[in-house]
Amino acid sequence: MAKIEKVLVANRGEIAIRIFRTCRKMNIKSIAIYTDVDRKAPHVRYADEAYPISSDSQDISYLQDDKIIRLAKEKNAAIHPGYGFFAENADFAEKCKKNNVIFIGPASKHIKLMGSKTGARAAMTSAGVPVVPGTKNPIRDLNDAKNAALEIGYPIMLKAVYGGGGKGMRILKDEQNFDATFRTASSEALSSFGNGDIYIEKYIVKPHHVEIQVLGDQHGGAIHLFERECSIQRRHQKVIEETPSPFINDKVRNNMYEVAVKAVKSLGYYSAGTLEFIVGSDQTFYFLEMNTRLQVEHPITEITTGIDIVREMIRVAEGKELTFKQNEISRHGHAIECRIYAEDPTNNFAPSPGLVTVYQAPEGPNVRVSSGAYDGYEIPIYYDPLIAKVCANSKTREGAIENMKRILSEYIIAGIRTNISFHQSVLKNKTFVSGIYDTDFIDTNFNMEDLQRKKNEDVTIPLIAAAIRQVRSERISLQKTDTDSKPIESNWKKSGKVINVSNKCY
Amino acid sequence: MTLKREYFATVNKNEEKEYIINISVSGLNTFEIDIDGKKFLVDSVRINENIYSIIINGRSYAVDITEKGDCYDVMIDGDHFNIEILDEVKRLIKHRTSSVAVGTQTLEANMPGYIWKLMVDEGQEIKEGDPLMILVAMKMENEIKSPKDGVVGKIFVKLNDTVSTGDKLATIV
Repeated sequence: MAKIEKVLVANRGEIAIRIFRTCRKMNIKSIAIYTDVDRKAPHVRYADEAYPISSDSQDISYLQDDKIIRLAKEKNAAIHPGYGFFAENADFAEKCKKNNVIFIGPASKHIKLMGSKTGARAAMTSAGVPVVPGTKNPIRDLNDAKNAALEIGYPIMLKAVYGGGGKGMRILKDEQNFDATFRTASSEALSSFGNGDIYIEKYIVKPHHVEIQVLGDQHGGAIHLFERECSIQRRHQKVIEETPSPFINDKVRNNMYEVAVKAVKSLGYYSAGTLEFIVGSDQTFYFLEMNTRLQVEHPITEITTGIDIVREMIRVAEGKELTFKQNEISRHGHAIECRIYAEDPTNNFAPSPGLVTVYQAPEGPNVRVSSGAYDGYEIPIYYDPLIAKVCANSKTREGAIENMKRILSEYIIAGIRTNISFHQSVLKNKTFVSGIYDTDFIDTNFNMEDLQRKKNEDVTIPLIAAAIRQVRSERISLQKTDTDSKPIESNWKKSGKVINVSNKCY
Repeated sequence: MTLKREYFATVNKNEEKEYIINISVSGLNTFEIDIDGKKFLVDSVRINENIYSIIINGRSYAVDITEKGDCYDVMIDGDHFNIEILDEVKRLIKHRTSSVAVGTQTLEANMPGYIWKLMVDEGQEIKEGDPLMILVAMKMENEIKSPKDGVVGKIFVKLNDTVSTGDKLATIV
């Protein structure tokens, strides 16, 4: 396959810049695409070339496959999809291939296979990867159901075959009340989904979410880059990730690596990928799904292994072998990532887009920040609320937590609200610090009131600051001469002024 | 010139306590401040749009202030305060208008976003809880529901309009 001389990133924000950074060091030219509202987004300036993809000012979509592939073809560029958008879209990968555009990612057949729950489950089972035990087919007979439950082992979950959203779902700790529970689950399924079919699955108590990063090449090479623990989630969205997992023991760890690499080899999978596992409190692990893309949280793996995953993806797409063999790879220390979202933790995590008036990124040792923001940037309302990822590392987990607290204390973003204070609360939480947390952590072990609780209740300094600000703005409007810096004007600011007239506080 | 002002401040809206602040500007960056009889000599410089460096008796503070109407969002060391500062005239007006007549209700955007769907027309009869429109920001949908039975009065927005927090969306009569 041809050498890649140019890369078009079919994405925006921090991940586009992340990929461009590797391109720059590899002397590969980079191409950004942007919508009208993203003209001032930082990825546009970072790239060597940038092309608009909006057909008019209302057009905010990056999902323009034909336009993007045509552009890549015209510029003789390979396409990296980043995460989201066209990542894990088999049709897009296939279309690239048909147009002789190199897709920097896995084969479209693997994207397709892993995109199907049943397909992925079957493929993994035949590759020897443990999946959550359960009956594949609906069970209608009560005695059959009881036998199946015994075979799977309690606790079990009854699930509606055609269900979703928790309807028709029941958890059974043992055989007690089996008959009645089975009947109500079935009738609930029937009334909700028009079909009463039920299947049985093992219920995982206090589940952990642990994933294994893998890399494969087109010559049968396959390696793992250890695991990431991603159990701190809110509304099924990861918030904090770390490596190594503080929960699983070394035997389980090594088992998971072995299984993951075996799966990659037996599939013939290439490029970067992640096998997500659910791990029970007894440390048994089961395959959940495989992400056929570069993960948001890949930096903590890069920090602890020294491997540039994007570089490997590009090389693999060129048809080269992976740079390193498994025995040349080791992990050093501990790394944590906090995802910084433009959302307001004091207002039920409502989105908080708008003008960033002050942006001051943390500096000093043990820090890695990837962001798509700067001061003066108006964060659009149309895209993902992830504005930055902050990683901290150290020799130990305690050290990494300590470093992260220091690092976040330096991170100043004004004009919009972010979840930085939420991260600070989690990092102080006893359960988090102990390392034994599961995916229910935010719901069960985290007190949202901790967010409101202040380190210092004394209002003297805030009152002084507010009074000074007030007297200054009065003086400014009196004298019309401002010795302070001129504020940055934006639509958000203007609408703020309109609100001012009505004397409202928010 | 020296500028002297008297302010009435409340913290975090619902708290009853009112602080009386007397402030006089004694130099370019120096202020004499009296809060309920306690006196402070303050050195304060503005670093940029939101950040102030405040030094009191050698103690150094980095304060992040965002202006919102007569209110200030103040952040110190991760702690967050919402402070309302009124002068005597504004305080009078506020006390007079605090007994607002009920009846027509105005719905406002509780987050910035754009109007993705509009489900009602002006003059349409609606029930409490009926969805009026859907506001979207950063892939999160927020259904705006009617707070009461009534009739849609005015709709202030069009499809695809972008709104800021506090912008009027519609009135329910």
